[in-house]
Amino acid sequence: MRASHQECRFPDEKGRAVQRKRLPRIAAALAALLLTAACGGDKQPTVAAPKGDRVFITFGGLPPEELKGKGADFVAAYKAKFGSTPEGYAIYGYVAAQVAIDALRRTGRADREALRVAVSETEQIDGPLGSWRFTTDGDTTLTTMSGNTVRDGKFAFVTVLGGGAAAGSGARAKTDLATIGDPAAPKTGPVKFVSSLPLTGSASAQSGTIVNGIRLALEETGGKIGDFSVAYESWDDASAKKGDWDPEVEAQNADRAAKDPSIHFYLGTYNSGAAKIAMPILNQANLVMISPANTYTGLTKPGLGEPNEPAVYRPTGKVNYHRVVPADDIQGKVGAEWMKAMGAKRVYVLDDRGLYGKGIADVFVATAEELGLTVVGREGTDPKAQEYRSLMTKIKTANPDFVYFGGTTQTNAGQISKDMVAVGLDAKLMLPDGCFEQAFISAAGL
Amino acid sequence: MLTLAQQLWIGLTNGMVFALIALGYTMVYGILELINFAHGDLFMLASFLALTLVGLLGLATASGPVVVVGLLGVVLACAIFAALINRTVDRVVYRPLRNAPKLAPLVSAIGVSFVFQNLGLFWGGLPLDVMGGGLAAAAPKSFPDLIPSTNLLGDGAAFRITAKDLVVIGSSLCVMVALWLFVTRSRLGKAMRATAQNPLAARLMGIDVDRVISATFLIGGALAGFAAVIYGLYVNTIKFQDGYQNGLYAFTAAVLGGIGNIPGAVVGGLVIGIVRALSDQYIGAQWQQAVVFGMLIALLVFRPQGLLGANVREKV
Amino acid sequence: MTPPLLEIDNLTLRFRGLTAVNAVSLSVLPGEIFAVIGPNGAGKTSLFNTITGIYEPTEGSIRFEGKDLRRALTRRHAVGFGLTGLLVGLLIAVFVADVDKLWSAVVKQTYRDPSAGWQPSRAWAALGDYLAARPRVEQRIGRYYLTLHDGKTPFGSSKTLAEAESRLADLPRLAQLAGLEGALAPRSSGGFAIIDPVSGRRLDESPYRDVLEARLAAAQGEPAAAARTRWRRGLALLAGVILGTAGAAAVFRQTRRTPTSVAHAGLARTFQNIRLFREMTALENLLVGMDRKLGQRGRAARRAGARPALLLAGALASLVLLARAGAAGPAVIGTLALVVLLGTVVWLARIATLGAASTAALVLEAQAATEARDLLATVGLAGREQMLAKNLPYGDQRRLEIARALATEPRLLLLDEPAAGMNPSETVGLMQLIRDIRTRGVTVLLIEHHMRVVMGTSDRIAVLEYGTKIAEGTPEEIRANPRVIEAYLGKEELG
Repeated sequence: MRASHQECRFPDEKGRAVQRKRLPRIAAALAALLLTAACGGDKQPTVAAPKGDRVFITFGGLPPEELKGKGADFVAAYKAKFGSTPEGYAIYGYVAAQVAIDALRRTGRADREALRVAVSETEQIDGPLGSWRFTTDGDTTLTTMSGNTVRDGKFAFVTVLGGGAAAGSGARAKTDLATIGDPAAPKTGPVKFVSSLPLTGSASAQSGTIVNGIRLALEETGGKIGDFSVAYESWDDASAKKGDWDPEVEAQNADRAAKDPSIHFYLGTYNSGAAKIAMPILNQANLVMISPANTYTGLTKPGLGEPNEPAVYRPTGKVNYHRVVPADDIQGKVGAEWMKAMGAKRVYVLDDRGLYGKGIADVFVATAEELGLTVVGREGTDPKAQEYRSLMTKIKTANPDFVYFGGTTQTNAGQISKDMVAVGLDAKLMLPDGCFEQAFISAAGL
Repeated sequence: MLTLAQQLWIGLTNGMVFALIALGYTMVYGILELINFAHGDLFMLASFLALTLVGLLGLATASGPVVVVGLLGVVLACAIFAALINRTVDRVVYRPLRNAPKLAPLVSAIGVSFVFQNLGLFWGGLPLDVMGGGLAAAAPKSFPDLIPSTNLLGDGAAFRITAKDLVVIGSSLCVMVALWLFVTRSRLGKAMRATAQNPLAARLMGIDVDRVISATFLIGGALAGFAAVIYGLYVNTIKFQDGYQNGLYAFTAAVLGGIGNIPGAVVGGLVIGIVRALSDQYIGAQWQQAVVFGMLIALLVFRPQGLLGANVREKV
Repeated sequence: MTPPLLEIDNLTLRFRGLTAVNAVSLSVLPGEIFAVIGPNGAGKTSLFNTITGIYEPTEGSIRFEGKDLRRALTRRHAVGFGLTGLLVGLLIAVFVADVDKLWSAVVKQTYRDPSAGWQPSRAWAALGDYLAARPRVEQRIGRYYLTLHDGKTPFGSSKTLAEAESRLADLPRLAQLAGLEGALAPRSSGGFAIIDPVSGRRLDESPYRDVLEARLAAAQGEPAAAARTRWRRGLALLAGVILGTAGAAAVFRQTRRTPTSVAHAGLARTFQNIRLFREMTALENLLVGMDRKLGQRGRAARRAGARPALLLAGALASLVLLARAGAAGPAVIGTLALVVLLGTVVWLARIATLGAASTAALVLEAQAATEARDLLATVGLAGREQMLAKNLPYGDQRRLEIARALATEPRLLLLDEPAAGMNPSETVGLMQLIRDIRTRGVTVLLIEHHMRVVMGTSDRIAVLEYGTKIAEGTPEEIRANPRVIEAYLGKEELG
């Protein structure tokens, strides 16, 4: 390190003498470039290939290949129907729809209040995700996570992180559903399910796979749940203008669903930011919302988000929002534990300044410090920036073993991965589940 | 110190790309007083063409010399493509509005920008391997790493100069010098400067101003096409919103240097590139845009004409 | 009598009710110095601006050397209108045809199976099908839908492509059966079926009667509805073509008399408020004036030589093709690449050092510079060639502007108040310069307030007041004209 330092120092203290010494070096480098470029030989390997795995991604739950039991059945059914392997979130779409279907079966009435209570008392035993239920705040009791890496342009499972359903929360008392809501509510006729997911834009692959999961669950009912006939509409909450989810569109979707009395389940959203918008609207309409993908803690967990969360999303005080994925407090924590287990000492933490990214990075930092990892830097990035070479150069001087980026494919995780290599930063990169999609691999050119 | 030098180097490299795009803005503004909002998106379209051609020619897996020759071809094709598109847009959209109030072509330019963005979105959905099979039109597209980014000073060296950096800086400098020679020395270049300084007098001297304007759009477009290839090679990711982000920076560069002023655009581009890099290093990545645009505001308060700009042209 | 060089007949220029020039007729003879005078606001500069094509006259004509000063309508222009029209037409047609569905049908549907690759021929066929509004098979999430021209799918979906295609083929037969009694019959196993009475083949079946009825109706209505769609698209195309062509022609009509076309015809002018290219040197100002001449010479010279850019492009293209075909070894290609690169560098270096792409262009440049220097010397600016125009003294700026106008080699020179702001000795020099210009064979049309210049140089004078010509004649006649004296009374001294 020190020797090369001497040779290529810019003319600061020593001035011209140093500069002259440097020139032949550059000339030689240029000649080398021309030789490699013009005179042939084998093409340089694309980017200095990292030794071993370089990019690690945590995911709430197990990747499709690792699923057992009913989860494996789901993957097989999905493959048979759609001819492709489901992406990570497909199973959550499937489970979200199952929760809704089960609630409708138990209630037997198309009444929003009764359905809300029925959903909140859901208990899956040996379901595709194992055994779990909802907490009183609408969270899943599941905490199983997986650690993954990228090999040969595909995600590869590495290890199970965290584990099982959280113990201690005993079974909830069951309400007699017949006594809730309007007893005169229709017991037959159409019941509409809608999903609101970003179908346009870069998250479209994940959304598409969730939609497929929902379809699969609904088709397994044969179009009939009790005496109800099932209809499903997949709504888009993204706009081409933004290339990602759009607050305006999400608000429109929620409004439309709230006002349509034939809609009884709102499956979504994909982005936690979108959930923040939809939740109060749907809460006032007392419409059940089940998210297959939101992980921001504040949506359900008092004390883990802003001070007024999650009460601010529940103007009526009732809990209508549920999620079937484990939230970021769990994921950020297991990320830090995994990193520690891999022998890391110094970590540089970045986030995209978004709700999801910053939230998960906050939890990560808290756990990392608790575990004795040194957080050598913490910074927000511009998710629209063209490239991050300057930032990566700065990080390089901090000399971390790991970079943690709280962000998604849509907030440029791919570019961050690329630019780490471009500036010769040989730290490893850990990412949360927002990057657990094929689009990340292709954006990062891995 | 070394870090500062490294950041300056990165800023310089990025600045070159901004400068190349900024030239297109500034040249058109100099002659037409039109802010061609579609310019950034033209750049984006050219980058999609570059990626498409790289895919069709199979350059990602080709051997060294084929890559060099192929890239020359891609640069040429993208430059010609962007030049022709730019000229056609001028012919079809802006020229009929030449005598209309200034706002009319400006608003049309915004419209063209949207058209280009949507074309980019379509293009991203083309069923090509390089476009990710066309499944997610809006997703970022990975541009193959065709130029090695290994450190030429050796792997362990503290300062990093890559072949990629040298290609970006070197080729951009060549293009800029060629442009400068063209503008100062050639007949058409003189006609361009004359038109920019006094369009009416130029007309009355028999300069075919329409031809000069066409040439300006051709050259500005070609520069954007060239910049697009360079950008793809350097940043390795392109997406359909790239035109907006890069166009914004490039336009800022043009204003910073004095809009209408050709060396000004280059200086502005480099300044923005360097300020971005330094801001990332010393202030924080989340402040990048705030710093760049804050600097623009501060500068325009004290030097409204920009760094190298002349005072506002006299009016009749 | 010699025919006039410039003939203005009954020229009127109005701006929204304000008449700047009112029915003025003038004729300037070749070789003459003709002055236009009048109080401020009399419309003199408006007259100049109209003659030089800056304003379009409201009425009347301007003829120079017996010709109207308009751009000719050539075949190239006509082709241009047609192409513009076609482009607009296509855009509108695509818009009417619903660009999203078009994209889906042509690109997405022809790329159902990524492993098979994308075949352009299939896309072309799909494009034809879509534009002709023919029913087609579309794949959506694992199933095949028989899709009608408007994107509706009343026939439901099939599991396999073959099944969907056979239903597509049955569509015309279904349409025939629609009117037939008894085509739709109950099945023995429950539900209903449509059976072809001729072949006895079962074309469609469903548990519900209304579904089948709707399908029959859709099949029956499809040809007519598709035809209507075709008509609509055709009409949109036609309307777009007409609109585009007419628009292009209208734009052309409005721009037939441009300052450039006027300048090309052989008129040049100077301005009341000097309009030099301020950031260019005196020499460069003149070279801009010589632009057209240089262009013509350059074209003649270029015809002799080949175009390096084309050669370069050709070489690159063939190289890439060679490389793709794998016909040449890497060594050969590498060498060729180096040669091409080297050629480009040499070519660029020549431009850099010579300031021109070819030796011929260099000779032309040198020739032009000599001519420009001579011209600068004749107006008395020798030795100031390399000064920036904005740094020249005021009087010299006026002279430079005249020299620049002369560089375009005009037959008629319009001078707009050349003596404005000049001191008496500069004025004397200017009068001599104007006479010299005439001896070069250039006719001069002059606007001037400075009566000494007007009376001392002009052969004939016209007087404007409020846009109207009130007198015309020799200096002596004008001096004695009572209306002129009245117009100027108390405003300016005569003689």
